[in-house]
Amino acid sequence: MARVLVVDDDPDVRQLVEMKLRLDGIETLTATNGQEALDVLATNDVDLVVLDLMMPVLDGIETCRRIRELEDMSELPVIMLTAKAQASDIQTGFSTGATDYVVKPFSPRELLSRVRGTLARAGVR
Amino acid sequence: MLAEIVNIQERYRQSRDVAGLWEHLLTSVLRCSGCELGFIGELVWNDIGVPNLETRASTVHESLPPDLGLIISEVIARSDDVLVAPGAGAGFLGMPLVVADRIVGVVGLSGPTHVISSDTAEMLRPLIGVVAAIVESITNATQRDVVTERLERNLAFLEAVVGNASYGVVVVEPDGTIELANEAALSLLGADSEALVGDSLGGVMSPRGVDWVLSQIDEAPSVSDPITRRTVQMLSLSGIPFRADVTVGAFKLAEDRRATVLTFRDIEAELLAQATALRSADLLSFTPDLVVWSDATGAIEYLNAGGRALTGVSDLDGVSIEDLFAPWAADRFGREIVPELRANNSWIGEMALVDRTGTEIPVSMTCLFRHEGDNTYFAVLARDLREHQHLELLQHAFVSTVSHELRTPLTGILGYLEMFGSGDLGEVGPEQKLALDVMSRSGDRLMELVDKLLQIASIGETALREPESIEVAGLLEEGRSGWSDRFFGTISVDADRIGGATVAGSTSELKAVFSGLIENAVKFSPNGGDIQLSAEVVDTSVVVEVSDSGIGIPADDIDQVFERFFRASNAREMETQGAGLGMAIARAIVRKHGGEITVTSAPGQGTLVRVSLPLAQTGQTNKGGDRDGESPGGR
Repeated sequence: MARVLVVDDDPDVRQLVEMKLRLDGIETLTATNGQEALDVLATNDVDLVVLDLMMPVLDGIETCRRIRELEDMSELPVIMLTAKAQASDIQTGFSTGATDYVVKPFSPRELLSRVRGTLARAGVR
Repeated sequence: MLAEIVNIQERYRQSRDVAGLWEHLLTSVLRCSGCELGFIGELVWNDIGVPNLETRASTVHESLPPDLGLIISEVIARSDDVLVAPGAGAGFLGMPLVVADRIVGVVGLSGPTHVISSDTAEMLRPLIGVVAAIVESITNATQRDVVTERLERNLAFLEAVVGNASYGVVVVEPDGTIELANEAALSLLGADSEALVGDSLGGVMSPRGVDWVLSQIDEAPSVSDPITRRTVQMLSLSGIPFRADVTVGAFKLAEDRRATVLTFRDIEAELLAQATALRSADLLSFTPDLVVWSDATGAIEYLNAGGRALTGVSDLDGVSIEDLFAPWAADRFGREIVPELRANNSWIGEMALVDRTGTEIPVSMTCLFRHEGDNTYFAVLARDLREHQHLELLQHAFVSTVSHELRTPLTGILGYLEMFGSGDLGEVGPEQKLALDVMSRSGDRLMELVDKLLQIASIGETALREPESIEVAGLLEEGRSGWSDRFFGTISVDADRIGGATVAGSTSELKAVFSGLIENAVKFSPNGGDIQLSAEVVDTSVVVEVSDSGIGIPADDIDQVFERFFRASNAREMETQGAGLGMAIARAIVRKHGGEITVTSAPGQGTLVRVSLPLAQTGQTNKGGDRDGESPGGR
């Protein structure tokens, strides 16, 4: 079973993503900021990270950068969730190593299909 | 006073004691002046007993007739202006001809010289006549020559005084012919000297004025008292009338020589000049901006209150313009800006001042360099940009926060609505489904509104620092293909005439403009029809017309289509969706690119939107920036 880490400081968004993914049979872990996410990644095997950009403590951009610096994590798929819809923001996301991005407010169905697509490309079912 | 002088004159005319006469005259003048004054320096008595202060005479103008000296000294004496004499006062007959409130260019005198107020000038007037009489009374040819020579010695100086006077001086013959005119008179009358001298006074003065002036000559007594004064209508040679304050003093220099000295000033122009100077000074002292000017070396001559507050400089002594700048800016001023100023006379850009604590103050700055004869100066106007920069930061933070704060809750609403609608959360009945659809649509509209608001907020914010080169034909084609499958009429593009014409700017913004215009055309053409996009080059611009055959815009509404949140009355009736921001956004973007957008429409027939953008080839890119008073809107 695929396992996805959902990182968002907003509990409603976190719950929405979790629910949509679980309904499709994906196991989820959660974190409320970047630092928590790194802690979870240190002790758990995760197939994909759904990462919000604007978060307290450690934001999504910096978190993504640090994930890429971790051993064995350079290829970990990261889908960024961003409320920043401007081209420059999206560019920043990709340049720090995001695999894909979804702009808030997003369609849960679209997010799910991106998660599924990304997992498939990474060889996870 | 006059009686006393006449007495003296009579007494000494009889005794022929010339030296005694001068002494008396001088003493009388000094006593009558009411001023604390005295001759300091050496009184030199010449061979005919004429006392004189040792002065270095100005160039003698042999060509000037002696009586001109009288006329000129008369002018000086009746002037309200305070005049300054080089080698002050030791003029003809030792009589202080010149009135001064400060001393400049004193030559040949040891120590300070005397100062006489304009009140004294009043006292001196009668003496002029005495002088004339004295010259007449000298029978000894040698003495007369000496006196005449003294007189001539003063002519150059006197001529200079009259020449530099701020009021017009003309000498008029009894027949009304103008015999002499000073520079100020020529300037006030808009004439060169050939045009004025020899002309009739009637050419520059009303008939009533001329009558009055000439009547003064007819009645001229042997001394030039009293002087009369009136406000008279005068006329410049170019036909511009003005009200002048005119004084007239007539002379009878000899039985057969009479003339009038006429001084005049343009009252209204002087009042205006005074008011202008006063108001300019007021404005300069009230503005918070820095205004400074310096001489050609950079030494500050004036710094306004705003500039003093900004920089903390209060004592201007020895302060130069460069001292007001931050070190790097001072360096740039000397190295880069001054050379450019000397070449182009002006410079505009951003610089940094420095205050007393060494803190840099970012400013937008305009510099001027003026070099015309003696009129050489640098002027600098600088505006503190700190507040502006702070506001820019706030705006950026606002846009970013709003973006985040509005989108996040919308995520919860729209996400769960979708899951409800798709049955993720259990079966929903047809009526519930209907309600969920409406909620989803409303959520989508809210989202669109948020996007457009953010778009408006960010247009002014991002200057086109690195404009892209954008092919207009491509933009139009892209716009067409994006909408053609959502419209059951036809959308056609005619861009053949512009070939590969490009404009400079932001691709995404201009794309939004044309996409938005096509969206409008589609939205307001409910029955299909033709939407045409045509482009041509007009002068240095690309002009694109987007026309539809839709419902049009009522005449009452067309002026407001660029207002934010404006929606035309028929658009509201149609219940089409829209926030009324599309046209506002379009205009903001077009103007930012240095272009213009206009709308013409006829209800029931369609709408034509015309967008003109400057061609990139002209080298013109972004001139617009964010404009104040922007009031974009929609239909």
